[in-house]
Amino acid sequence: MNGVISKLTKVLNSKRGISLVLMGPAQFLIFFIAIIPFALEIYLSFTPWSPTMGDLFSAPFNYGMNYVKLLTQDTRYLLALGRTVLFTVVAVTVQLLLGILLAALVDRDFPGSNIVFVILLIPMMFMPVVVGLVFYMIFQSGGPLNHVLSIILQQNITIDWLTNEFTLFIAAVIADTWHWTPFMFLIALCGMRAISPNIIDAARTLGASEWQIFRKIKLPMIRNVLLIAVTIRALESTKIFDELVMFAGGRLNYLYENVSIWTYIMNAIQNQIGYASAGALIVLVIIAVLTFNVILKVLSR
Amino acid sequence: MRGRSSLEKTKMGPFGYLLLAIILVLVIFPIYWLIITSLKPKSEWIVTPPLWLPRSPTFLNYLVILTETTAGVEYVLGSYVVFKPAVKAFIDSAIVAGIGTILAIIVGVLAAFAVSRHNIGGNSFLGLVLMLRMAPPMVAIIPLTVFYSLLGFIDTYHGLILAYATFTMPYAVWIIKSFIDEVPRELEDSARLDGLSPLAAHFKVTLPLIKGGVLATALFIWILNWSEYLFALMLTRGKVITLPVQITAYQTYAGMLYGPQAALAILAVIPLIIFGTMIRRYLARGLTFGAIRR
Amino acid sequence: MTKVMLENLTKVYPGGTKALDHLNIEIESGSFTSLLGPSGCGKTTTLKLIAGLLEPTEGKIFFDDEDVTYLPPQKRGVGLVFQDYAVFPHMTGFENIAFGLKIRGVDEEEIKRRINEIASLLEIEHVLSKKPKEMNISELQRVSLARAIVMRPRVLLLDEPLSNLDATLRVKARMELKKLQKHLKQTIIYVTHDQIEALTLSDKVAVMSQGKLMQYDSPENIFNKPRNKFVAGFVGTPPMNFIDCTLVRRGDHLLLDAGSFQLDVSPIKNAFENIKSNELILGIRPRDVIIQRETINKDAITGEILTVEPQGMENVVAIKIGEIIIKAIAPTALTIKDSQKICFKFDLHKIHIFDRKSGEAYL
Repeated sequence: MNGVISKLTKVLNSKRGISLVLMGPAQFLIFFIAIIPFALEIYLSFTPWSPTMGDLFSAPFNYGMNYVKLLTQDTRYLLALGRTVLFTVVAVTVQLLLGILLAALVDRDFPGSNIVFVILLIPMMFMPVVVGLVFYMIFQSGGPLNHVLSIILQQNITIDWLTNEFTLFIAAVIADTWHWTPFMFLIALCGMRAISPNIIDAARTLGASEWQIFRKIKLPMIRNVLLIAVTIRALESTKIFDELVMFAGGRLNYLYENVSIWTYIMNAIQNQIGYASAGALIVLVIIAVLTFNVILKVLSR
Repeated sequence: MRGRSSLEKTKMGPFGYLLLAIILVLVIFPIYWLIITSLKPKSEWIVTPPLWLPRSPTFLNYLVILTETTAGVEYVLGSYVVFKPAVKAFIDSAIVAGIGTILAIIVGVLAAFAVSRHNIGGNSFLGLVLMLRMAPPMVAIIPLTVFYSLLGFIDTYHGLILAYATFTMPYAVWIIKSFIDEVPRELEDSARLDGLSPLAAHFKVTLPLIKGGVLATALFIWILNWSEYLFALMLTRGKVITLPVQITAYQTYAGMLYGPQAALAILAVIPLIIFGTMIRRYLARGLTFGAIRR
Repeated sequence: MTKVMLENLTKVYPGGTKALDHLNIEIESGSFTSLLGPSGCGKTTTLKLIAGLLEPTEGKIFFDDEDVTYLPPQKRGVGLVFQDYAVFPHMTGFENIAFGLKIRGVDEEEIKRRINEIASLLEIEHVLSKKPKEMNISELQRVSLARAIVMRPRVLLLDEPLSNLDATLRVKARMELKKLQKHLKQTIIYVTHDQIEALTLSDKVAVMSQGKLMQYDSPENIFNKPRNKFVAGFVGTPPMNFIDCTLVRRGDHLLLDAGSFQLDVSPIKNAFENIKSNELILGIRPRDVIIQRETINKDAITGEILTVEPQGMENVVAIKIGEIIIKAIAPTALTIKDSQKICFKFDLHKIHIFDRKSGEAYL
């Protein structure tokens, strides 16, 4: 028995053995759950396949017609892309500014700063579905938001936020901001706290006020850290889905159709799987190109 | 904590306190609203103007979603099929999130050692694994659904677990790699001199030193899996029901049952907040794939 | 050119640690003063209080006749150079040095003029357009110094500015610093734990221990006339020997009884008139232990050599007399070996006497 164990140990610890033991499981998972499906998707994107068409593998080859149609004729898709970009830009900008503001506010000496810090992080821990649910309730025409607005504006406000595209957009931005500003706040705060206290003190002895220190020292010094946070947040916000589903309520009426919702409708509801695949892959390419560019920019600094 | 400017920081002025108070109210309000809604009886759900405090608070909503009680329930719609699954949703979520996390961590730890200590795969593996997470989940889900139906994995525990493990493993690899990088190689090297094999050196020397970090990563990934909706939606049909699916199901099939919905939402979110607060020192590292460490 | 006065300065941290205990120092305008002491003695705390980065628990700080105790650092006009230099990493050398001037609103031309002036003085012209990560440690130190000096501060505070430099650079920098001070006629307060630095550079030295001022005097007096055991033992390499002894009168003679030997101090017995206690400590610097070849007269004490440490031109010898071990300096010419018996004398004019309980010096 001992001989077998020691022989096994020796084999496992050889160069190939180590490679197998350590990387094997990961490679297995990735290959089967990610790479094969990905290859499948590329195949599908070149067919107009739908489950009603029968066998998957005898679907006709499309010569990229899906792509052409999506990029040139499908206004619905292009609008979805546009909405996704708009949403990301607006939401991430708001979250960045709020996050920096919060970090500047919290990075001070006041009683209970630790508790405040934890409270400010809590929204980030919420399930997206629950975030969607809560704000669904808040944005009802008879809900608390309209109630508060009515009091402040001294008028009867009964906006049905979730039934028209523009107000739905605003509601989604607000929900996403509540959910994710803590992330920007956390990163900005970490960045600021990493600055050596001597640097801040040096600036003080040179006559800089706290505001000047914030603008000329703290902000520039957390630039790289903020860039990472913005990139990650931007990528995540393009995929927003759960909240939008909740906003549609029981009506299944997805008024703010971004890329995720579009793909969901195409794929799960209309069963246009081949077409949806092409749409999803276009988004992937766009994201990959943009991320690559950002990484290049960061590395060249 | 490091970073306090000269031991005496800026003081908070009255304007600062005001701003902070406003922000805290805005942050806490949705949580507050969710809690009171879960305690409202049906008569108080849709009232204009809305009630900021329940007039007759009740735990009925919680009872309804967790048990088969009919007593006092004025709003049973159809059969109890709607309500029973709440407990099942907890169980299914626990199974899928739990096992998925364990799997992701094991695979992730192994791969992290490979990349950090042996340089196998190196940057291209790390990059690939990152893309897994960065790519829109839609890209993955469409073919996965097809693939799974071919394999018969639709609506199975193992199907969902494998998917969860694969797509949260990138976090495990990057974050745990950052922990391993912080342990000096010399410790393993000297253990090697004492006769330990490379694998034993990893597991007996370095791994114990990072177990806090591994645990925090596990909780982090568990939070992601517990909250995951899209994959669960597309890959299950009713035999496996996770909490996010259940919550939206209430929305769709049972109309607007605010009370039970809110109750379920709160129960679902409590573990998230508990674990999230426990690992708050690691959140920055976790969310940025190990790039930012306190 | 400002006079700095510290009055009863006390700092207690929230945890209860008393970093400074009623410090009273008057620093003359234009002087180079060192705060010398071991880590934790409160010297950096003092510096930060003078700069306004900390508020005292008690006491006051005056610049000339102005009470600046609660004036914020931005308004005090102090220059501060940190041990780690704290150069702003995202700005060039030029921008770093210009930072304070820009805040003050000095116009561009004047900024350029002043910076060029200070840059040529400190020999850092070539570094002005570089970023800190491209500078070596000596350049970083000089940029940090320039940034403080260009503001023409009332007081210049330096916190161990040379401790990160290697030995050769340190000696060079020390001399340049002294030259600079004379040139600028700047009031400088210099914190260090290196006594050689303090003694060579300063007009006056304040020796501190555990938040208290031990002695504030010229370097010569700190060395030759230490006022207590701490100062005597801290300053001087190798450190002073301390021997417990009792003052004893035997007939006409006044003796210090150290157990293993007695020292006849009758020749200087006038100095002992004011001594209140008989429990004393004898202090003698190794250099003042005079080694003799043979027993010349009965003044000489006999001991056994324990170790010999060669130090280039001379040796540091450890001598054992009974239970007592003292160190002495012997020229290399005198060939000595371990376990050899040796005779030595104490230069009576150089001995120090300390009260065993309080550590105060009588002599």
